[in-house]
Amino acid sequence: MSSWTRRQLKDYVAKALAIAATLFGLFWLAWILWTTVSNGLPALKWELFTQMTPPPGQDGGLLNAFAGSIIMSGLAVLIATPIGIAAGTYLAEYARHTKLGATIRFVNDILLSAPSIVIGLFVYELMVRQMGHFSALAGAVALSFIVLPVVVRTTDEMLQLVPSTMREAALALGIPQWKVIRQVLYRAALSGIITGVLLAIARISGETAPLLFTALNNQYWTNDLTQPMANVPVVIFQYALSPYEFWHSLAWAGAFVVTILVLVLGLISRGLLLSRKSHD
Amino acid sequence: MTETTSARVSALRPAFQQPTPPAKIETRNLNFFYGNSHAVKGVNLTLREKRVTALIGPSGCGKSTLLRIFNRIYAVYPKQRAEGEVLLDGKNILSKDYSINRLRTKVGMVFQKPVPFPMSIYDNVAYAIRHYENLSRADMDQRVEEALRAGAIWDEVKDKLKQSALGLSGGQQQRLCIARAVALKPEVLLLDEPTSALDPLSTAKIEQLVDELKSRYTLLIVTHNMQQAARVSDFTGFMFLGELIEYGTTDDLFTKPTKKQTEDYVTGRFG
Amino acid sequence: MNTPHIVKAFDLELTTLKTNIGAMGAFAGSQFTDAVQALLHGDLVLARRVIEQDQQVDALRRDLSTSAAMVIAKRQPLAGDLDEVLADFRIVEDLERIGDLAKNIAKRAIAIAGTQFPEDLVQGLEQLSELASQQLSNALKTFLARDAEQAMVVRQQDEAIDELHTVVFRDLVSRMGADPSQVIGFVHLLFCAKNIERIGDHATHIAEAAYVTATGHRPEAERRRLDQSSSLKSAQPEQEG
Repeated sequence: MSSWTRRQLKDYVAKALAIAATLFGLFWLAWILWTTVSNGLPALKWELFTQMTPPPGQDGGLLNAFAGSIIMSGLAVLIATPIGIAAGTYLAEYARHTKLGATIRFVNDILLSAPSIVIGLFVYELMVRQMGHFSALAGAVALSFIVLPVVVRTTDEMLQLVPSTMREAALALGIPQWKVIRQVLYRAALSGIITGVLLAIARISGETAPLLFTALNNQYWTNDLTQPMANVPVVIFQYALSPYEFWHSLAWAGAFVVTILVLVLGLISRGLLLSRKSHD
Repeated sequence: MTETTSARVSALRPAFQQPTPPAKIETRNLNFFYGNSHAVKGVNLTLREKRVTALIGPSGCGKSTLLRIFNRIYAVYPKQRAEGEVLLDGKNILSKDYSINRLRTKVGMVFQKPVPFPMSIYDNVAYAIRHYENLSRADMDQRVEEALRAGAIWDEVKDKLKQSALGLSGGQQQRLCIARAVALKPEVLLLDEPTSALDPLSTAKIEQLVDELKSRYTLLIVTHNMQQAARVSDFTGFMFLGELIEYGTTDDLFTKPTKKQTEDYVTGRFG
Repeated sequence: MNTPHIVKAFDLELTTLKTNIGAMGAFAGSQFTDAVQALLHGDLVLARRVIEQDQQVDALRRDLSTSAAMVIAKRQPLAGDLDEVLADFRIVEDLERIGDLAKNIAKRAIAIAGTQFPEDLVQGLEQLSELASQQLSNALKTFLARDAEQAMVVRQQDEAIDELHTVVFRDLVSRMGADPSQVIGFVHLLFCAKNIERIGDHATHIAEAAYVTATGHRPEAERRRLDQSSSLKSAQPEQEG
């Protein structure tokens, strides 16, 4: 056959292989999603959001688990975001090409990909052992260790994406550097930084291991941060391993809700990034 | 009839010479380094008050580098440093005692690519003013209008001051940047290739604007468009490999250059 | 041409060029009339002044050519602007030539000073120079006013100058034959008449250049040349029949 037909054949084969690989990956993803939806959707009912986690044999919902997750995630974000933004700002504006900056980035990347169970264990030693019991506070701190490197990285990168001309243009007006950062650069990088925070939230929504060692779980509602608090991932863990059919369906429902949450957060952050692109 | 015609004819000859205006900025043995690289070598340049000076030269000759010394914008980058003296109204702006921020209120800058801040048009102009002065709403409105008029863009934006500046066209954004720079009423304006990113119509508008600004400010413009330098400037300096090869009135430099390098560059024989 | 340029300095340069050419034209015109006056009335003082002032005409040509060249170099004019500036160049050259011709007449005026010439001859020359002078002045008017129609009219009137010159030429040649002792004087006058005719031609060029500036293209029809002095075989008008 001619060389041109040979090339065409190679092209065709390569394309077929690529599509097959994609379909292979998508297949499993679709299966997971299908399983989650088909098991979780029927279990969805109002009680999910109005009633607490039930003891075996009784009817109930996941109210305290949702509340607990929201409280601890919210606390984690509150703790980690200011620190993360400050650190990211330092890296991008004051230490962009220094050795110190490079070291910090390196350490941050390690923290970013640290196994979450290690973080859980660390906070267990640091707080749970010291306090003598599990607590929501410890859970929030553990989650904040996961949020922090994400925010640092995103802030650093988003600020670096702001064209240096804008920085110079503001400085050329005689405005001091910190004010330039606060009033001009943050505004320019805002959607990017928010995206980072949203992605971090999506990530911690499903983290079980750190909470297992720190907040554990609580069958009841509690307002006390120094006590163990219910949260969705650990509840799913417990209920899925149990022999009770009703608990299984609750676990699926919880999993489904978390999946939807992550999906929504992902969509919002994509939307933010796209609207930012249209500005440029 | 012969007498009056003869007198009229004599007046046509350019017998009058414009007196040379005083020096606004003078550099003495100015050198600049990017790390170890010597980018500007021993430059002695004078910028005359309320005149336009142009810097021309091939890529990499140091003209933008030289321009950026005058408001010390290079200070943001740790590896860059300047040596020598730059006297603004007789005071050395490179000395540690001269406040950088104060310098930048006297020496404004417009960049090659228009960079409006991500704020409304009004806020873009008011931003720097707010930092230095506490003005009432009415006073600030007036200052903003003045600046936008000076930037020859008031008529186009007066009905949409609160809209984002990012919605303007390229040429309009650049004129907004000029308005922003003159809002602080500086004495000197540095223009770094202000029209190279713009279409011919916007370029013409900005050249006309430079003509108007000349009456109030001392201007230094870097351009790689020689015809533009010939059109807008009163004095021109030709730079090559970091050195100021020739400097003189624009008419002289473009019609009777004294150095061969200048002539070769101007006639397109190299660079 | 009606809307101003965005860069006002460009308009200023073109207007200044136009005005200055107008002034140079007026000056060249006055040089011409003075020279003829000196020639026909033996005014030596006037003649010498014309010769001296020719330097100014040359200097103006240099300056205005440079100005026009600078407009081309700096503004890179295109289309109508380019036509205008190139026409300006041509007109400046024509005006300088007119100045030179006037100087030549003044020199000859000095050479023939004191000689008496017949009245009708003097009148013929006066009439010729009057026509040429009008031609120049009208041409400059159409240039300043950018009037294409008038430019064509002025262009037409060159025919009258040509015809009158032919008549004067014949007259002088026949007088040379009749009175050989005065030949040198008549020869000077012959050259002066030719100079005046050429001034008329240059003035017509100016009108044509004005036409080009006003319309953007050259006039279509070729100008009729009615000056027969280059092809005359005898002093007598050609026999009819």
